[in-house]
Amino acid sequence: MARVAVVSGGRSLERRDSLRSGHHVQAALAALGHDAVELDVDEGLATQLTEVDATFIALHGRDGEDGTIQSICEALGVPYTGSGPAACELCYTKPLAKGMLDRAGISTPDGYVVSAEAVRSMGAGASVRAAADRLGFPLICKPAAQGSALGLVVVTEAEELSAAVMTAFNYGDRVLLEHLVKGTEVAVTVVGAELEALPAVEIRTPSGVFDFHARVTPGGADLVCPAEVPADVAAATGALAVDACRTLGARDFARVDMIVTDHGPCVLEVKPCPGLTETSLLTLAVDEAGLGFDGFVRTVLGLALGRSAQSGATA
Amino acid sequence: MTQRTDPYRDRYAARTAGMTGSEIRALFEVLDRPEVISLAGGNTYTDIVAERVVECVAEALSHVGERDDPLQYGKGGGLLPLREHLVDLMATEDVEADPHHIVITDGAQQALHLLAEIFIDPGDIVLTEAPTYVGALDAFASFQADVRGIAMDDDGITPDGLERALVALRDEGRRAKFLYLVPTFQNPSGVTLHPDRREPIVDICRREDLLIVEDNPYAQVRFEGDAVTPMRTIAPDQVIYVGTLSKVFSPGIRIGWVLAPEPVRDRLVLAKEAANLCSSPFTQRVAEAYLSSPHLQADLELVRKTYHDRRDAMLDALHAHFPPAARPRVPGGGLFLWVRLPEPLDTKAMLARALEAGVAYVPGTAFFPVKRDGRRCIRLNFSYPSIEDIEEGMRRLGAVVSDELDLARHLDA
Repeated sequence: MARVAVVSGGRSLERRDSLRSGHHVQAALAALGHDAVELDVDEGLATQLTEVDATFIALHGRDGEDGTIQSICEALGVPYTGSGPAACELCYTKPLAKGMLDRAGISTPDGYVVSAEAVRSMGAGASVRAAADRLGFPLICKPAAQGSALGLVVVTEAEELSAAVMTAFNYGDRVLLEHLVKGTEVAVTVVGAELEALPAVEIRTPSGVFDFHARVTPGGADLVCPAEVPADVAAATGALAVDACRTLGARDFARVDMIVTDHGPCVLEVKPCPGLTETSLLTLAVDEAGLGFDGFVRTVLGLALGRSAQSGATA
Repeated sequence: MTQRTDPYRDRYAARTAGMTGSEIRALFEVLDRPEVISLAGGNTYTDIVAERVVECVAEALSHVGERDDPLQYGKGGGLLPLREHLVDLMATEDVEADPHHIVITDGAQQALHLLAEIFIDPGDIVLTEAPTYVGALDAFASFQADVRGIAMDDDGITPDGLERALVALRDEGRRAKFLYLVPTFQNPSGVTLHPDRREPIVDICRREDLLIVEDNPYAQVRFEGDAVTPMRTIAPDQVIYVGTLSKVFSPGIRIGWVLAPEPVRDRLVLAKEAANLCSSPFTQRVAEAYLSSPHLQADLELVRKTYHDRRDAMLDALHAHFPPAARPRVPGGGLFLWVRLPEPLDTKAMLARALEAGVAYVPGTAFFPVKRDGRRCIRLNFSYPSIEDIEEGMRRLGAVVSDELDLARHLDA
């Protein structure tokens, strides 16, 4: 039995889902016989983390997926679940992640980035319009670093562009304009030391876009697992998810969101600490794979504790 | 395996289909963070009431074992001694009432829910001010009402505006079930329906045989100007009156009521008993004790003064920290300041930035039957936060608004 801190909640706008994730993880840890306590983010957090055997990170968005909490755990020498600080920061910063993936030959939607500072001081508003012209409508406008599709807007015509960019700027200082890739949206969870891909989950929404509204509305999306795609496509999504995670340096577990097009799958983003609630995409995938949520938690915690034992042996 | 994010979705009643998730509500999870100053809620100043509650509870418990025992089930219509006190309270607002025409409810929100339940069939039309109280919109939506808003100016809806809405309905071959009004210090706009408009509006409703639901939670928290005659006083048979102790005593006590013509009252009691048998006899006794206490009027004076001071602090901070184009509607009572911000701001989209900056408000879109309206407006609460929090919250929000405007100007340059 280990003493485990489940860190959830936090300051990000994904707080609600994070609290639900944390509670779900805590219940699983308790069922596995561990002494698990849920911790929110406050001034005493770092001290509390030194008093446990391991930290299970269930923080989404800022602080949880941008490398902040991981850096704290590294400095404290506390074993923690999931990817390291650099991989988290890379995944969270979507333009950087896209660049890395592109260089590795992994398809991502064409896109352009604009910063608020450049809009203010370099006349980059013109580049927004030029980018939109290049991408064509409809296009996706979203914050360059944010989760849960917060601030994501589908822009169908030029008149909507400024409002969409302003919406995205409300969630961060940089905005990503992306080509709207049409196809079947799937999410592939990878788990384990070898990053094994689990069955893909297909996401069906009335609007065709898994936006924040669809995510916060009970029943706002149908999730189909395994995804109803041909076997070779399913295999390709799994292989691509593993490639994407390895390219960005993710470990233990992650969720890779992608669109399956007529030309193959295209990666939208890699989530190093995705939703872990009872109805999350990951939960559905681990159930379908026969691992179960408790099994997933056992695996991930085991990896964290294993790294600790290894590092202790090396030291 | 197909799973929905809500696997029970297909089992729900069709009338719940309109109960969609709210992005605003999801984002507001951060409000329990200590660093966030909330100007968003509708909480009231209860410091003085907190000092009274212990003695009120003791008084309530002194009735254990008596008729109308506070620890037993009560009557669907509510505790008669409390209803008698409510008659006295309404008399201070110039409303004449019979305690037997009152139903006690769990806050005014349940009153609205029960009224919707007994009057609204799916697709029925309800007329409201636009903007209007979001809780009323939710209550009406839960019975699948077709809500039509009537625009307001600084003096509320106009008789002409009401006439136009009725003509439009006639053209559709339809009639409204009732007109819902918050005519005094309206939530969210703070607007009071001008006294000169009240009789003409009642006359139109009489002519059209249109019931008025008058929701009057804020009349007791007037800190400026003269009292205005309630709609109910003008036309007792035409108006169903909804009251609450949330602003007089405490929102946590959950006591509201409906004053209605006897047949309506009787049907409400049946609906009330089906919903939850009765409002808590214990809290009804506590409320009765407070209303009969010698402190009531002095406490109310303190509450009014507190709100007056806080409203002034909010206005001062608005002028100090917001762009001059931000336009408040200055209320002489109530809990809220309604502010119209300049184009091209979208206050729903801006909420995320404000929360990141550590301040919360409610975007105007929440209060309109048509959600694309009101996007330039915000509702700010001054009754609950301290003056220090109001000043700091407004400073943070003013910076967000200024920054947003600056960015928008550059973006479209």
